[in-house]
Amino acid sequence: MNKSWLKIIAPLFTVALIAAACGGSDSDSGSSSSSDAASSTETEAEEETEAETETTEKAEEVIEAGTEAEGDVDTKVEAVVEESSYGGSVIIGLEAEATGLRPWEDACSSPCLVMMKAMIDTMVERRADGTYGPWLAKSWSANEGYTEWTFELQEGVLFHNGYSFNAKTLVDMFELQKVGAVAAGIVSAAKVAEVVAVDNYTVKYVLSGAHSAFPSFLYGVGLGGVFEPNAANEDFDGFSMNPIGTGPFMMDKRDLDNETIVARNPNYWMSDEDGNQLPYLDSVAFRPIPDEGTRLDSLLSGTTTMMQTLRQGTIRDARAAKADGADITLFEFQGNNVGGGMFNNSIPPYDDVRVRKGLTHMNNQDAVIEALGGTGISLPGSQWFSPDSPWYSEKAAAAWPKFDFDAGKALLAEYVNDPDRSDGRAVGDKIEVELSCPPDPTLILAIQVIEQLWSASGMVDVNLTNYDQQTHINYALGAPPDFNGSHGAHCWRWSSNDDPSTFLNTQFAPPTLGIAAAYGLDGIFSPINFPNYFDIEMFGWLVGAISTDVFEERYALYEMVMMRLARDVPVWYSGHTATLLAAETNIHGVNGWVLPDGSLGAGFPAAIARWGQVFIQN
Amino acid sequence: MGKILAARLARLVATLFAVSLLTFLLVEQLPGDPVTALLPPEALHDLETMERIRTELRLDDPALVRYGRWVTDALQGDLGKSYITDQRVADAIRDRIPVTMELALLATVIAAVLAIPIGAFSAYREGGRFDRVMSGFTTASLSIPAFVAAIFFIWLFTLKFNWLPSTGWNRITDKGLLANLKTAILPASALALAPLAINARLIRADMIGTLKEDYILSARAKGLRSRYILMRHALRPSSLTAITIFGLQFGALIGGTVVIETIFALPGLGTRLISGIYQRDVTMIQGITLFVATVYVVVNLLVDLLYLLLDPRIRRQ
Repeated sequence: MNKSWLKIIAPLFTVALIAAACGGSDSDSGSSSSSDAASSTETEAEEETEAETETTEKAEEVIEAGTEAEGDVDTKVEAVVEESSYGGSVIIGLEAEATGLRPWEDACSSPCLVMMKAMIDTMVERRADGTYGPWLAKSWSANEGYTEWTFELQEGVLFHNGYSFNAKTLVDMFELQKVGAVAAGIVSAAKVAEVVAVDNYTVKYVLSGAHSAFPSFLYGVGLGGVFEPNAANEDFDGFSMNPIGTGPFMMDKRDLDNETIVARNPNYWMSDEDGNQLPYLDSVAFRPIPDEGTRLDSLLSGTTTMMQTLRQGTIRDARAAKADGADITLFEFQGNNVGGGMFNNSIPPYDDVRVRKGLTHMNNQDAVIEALGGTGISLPGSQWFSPDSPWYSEKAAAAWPKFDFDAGKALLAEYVNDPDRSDGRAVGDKIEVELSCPPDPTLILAIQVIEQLWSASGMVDVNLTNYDQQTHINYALGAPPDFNGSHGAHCWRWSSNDDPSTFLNTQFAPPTLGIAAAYGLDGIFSPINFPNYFDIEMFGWLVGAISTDVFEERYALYEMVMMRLARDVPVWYSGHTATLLAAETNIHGVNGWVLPDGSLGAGFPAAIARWGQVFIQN
Repeated sequence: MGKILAARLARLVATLFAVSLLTFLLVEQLPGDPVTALLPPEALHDLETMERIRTELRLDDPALVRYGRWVTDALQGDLGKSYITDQRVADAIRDRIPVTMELALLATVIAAVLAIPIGAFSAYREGGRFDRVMSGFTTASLSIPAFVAAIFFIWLFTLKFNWLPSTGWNRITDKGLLANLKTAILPASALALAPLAINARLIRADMIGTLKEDYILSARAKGLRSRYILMRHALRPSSLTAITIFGLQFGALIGGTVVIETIFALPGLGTRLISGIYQRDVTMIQGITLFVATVYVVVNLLVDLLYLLLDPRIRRQ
């Protein structure tokens, strides 16, 4: 009897697992589905046009996206040198599900953009050198005052539902954009007053004020993402699940939080430089896998064939896996986005530059980056631009108050011993700092490093707090009418790879109506000036930078802005956020896609792939 | 019987009302704002749009008015629309409940199929080698959190053996039962470990008492086979505890799959609830919480009724 019981119990669990493992078709296996799909699409491609060839050679061109970053970080954007071929599928693990896919209505961060960019084309795209180039807009020009922008559009472009893309499309889109939850804010930041169809393929954007970098707004999906307005009007909610764009892929299946599959758009308007119609892939499957470790394991085990991450710790683990022999390619990108924090400049003791600068001097960036898992991956920040960016300033980097504990201590001592110190405390009393971060394990480690450094001065009492992301944002935003926020020293991220005007002009506009009025800027105020820092001279430079399109002039103005931030230290930086797309080694074209004019595209900023030119090497 | 049923149903309604009110009040206390969750930080400078959205979502109304409106709609079967995705909450639950239910059911079945023989045989061989080994196993299973077991399973069955996928969910309707089991077995096994250990221990303890009853001695004296005595005479009276525990555990598993669903990236209720909380999606949180609470209390009610059916003494009381 003993033996018979054991026979039943012991193998039960194993049998169940093996049965499940061996049974059924392996639809999750990237390799098998890819090869099946590859053969079917090759046949389709042959049937569609005899003139098309299955393979094409790409120029062996290598262009670097600005100055190579320091450290062990690969930032090269290079042209495709392998033979491209049709067919196959990519299964990519994303860090989150997209809450919605309506470009004008749904907030869309990196994982959502990875999906949306497969279906929604934008008016312009960014090149590897940081400039903006043609996509659905062939060319553009502005009037002398930069208040009217005229765009010539690509002809013969069809939406997924068969409608044609033309100037009227953009006019109809604008009706939705100007009241869209996301787009309305961008319309106001870009100062778009009206969109006018000049002729069938010419459209004019009329602005209420000068903006010399206006095309940069048409790079973002919020204003520049082209969707089919009739479909959007017919089924406003449904569009979120089934977006209709002109992109290389069309929605095939959307199973929220599980898998979204997009299939090849047979009528896509773009061809490669040899005239082969794009895209190459049959389909792309997007799987949200929130857990970082599981997402990497899924790639290493072949459950997925690609993954994205915005976490330095995961990049470190992916590098280790590759070093251990994993058959993967790592596409790392060192973007402008820089982590760090801000001081609430409107309340004591942060209203005194000695405190802000002193605390920043005592912030050991290398130790913080190490706590974040980014040693050798993330570059220390000194401004809103990474060394790869065309806007990067050596002068601002030199001016930034770097780690110098004694210098920081001296500045704090000056404040603490000042009888007129702004916090009203007695001379010699410690200053109180509330340091807050969202409850991410690596962020907590990072602020613990900062807390230890600040406390070690003997002049600071640090109170650490953690709130979830939304609460964290709301504390910084505050409530009407002043939106001063109730934060102290607050973890935050700064900058993006977009044109500097898109973020700097709103983030350093007058933070309250009162301040705006005091400087004669009635009505011009921005609740998202989270540090509540305003400098009228700096604001003038920011306005000046959107009144000229001469790069050298704009560069000089943004350099002055960065110098002012280094002087007044309303915010602090830890490291630039490296991002990663990792893929099986037979997946190509992630790095090296080109614009319609043949110029090299921006690669994969913020781990956002452009799917139109991705292919699987046979 | 009718009176008991009526009393239990009244208790069920009161519980659900209390759960819905408590959930609403708790969510109300969260400092976040659904409108700011709806917009990217760079769009928060557009106060006009923020106000318009607030009005559209009727967030300007006092909290009690909003709760009253939600209860009225819920009583008519309308759980509302997500603030963030515009998806109907009932649709979100309908799409996701098969995943969570299957996970909970599979975990309960795994726990039951393994716990009954382990518990019964451990009791039969009390103090023996098998009992001692199983005692160690159950202690370890109880000590290991489900998410640690999940990570271990992924390492073993995905990275080492490459038998099963680490993430994703094959729906039965799309890909068939076996393909579905391939994606369900690892998370369900991780989820089943703790209930398995608890059940095995309870059954063991219960059966040790039962096996000392006179009628078991009498059965042995009659020369009946041990397996027959265990299954027919000992297990049956000990099954009341097991049924109660399985029922309670199933209800708890429905609401307790959150972490496992996140690790294995499964499209269940837990995943949606978590994202709802992060996004301050009040209607989604309320709808899912109410649904989970309803399942829990209904399962408990069914367990109570099963008790009445199985044990005539309780009916007479």
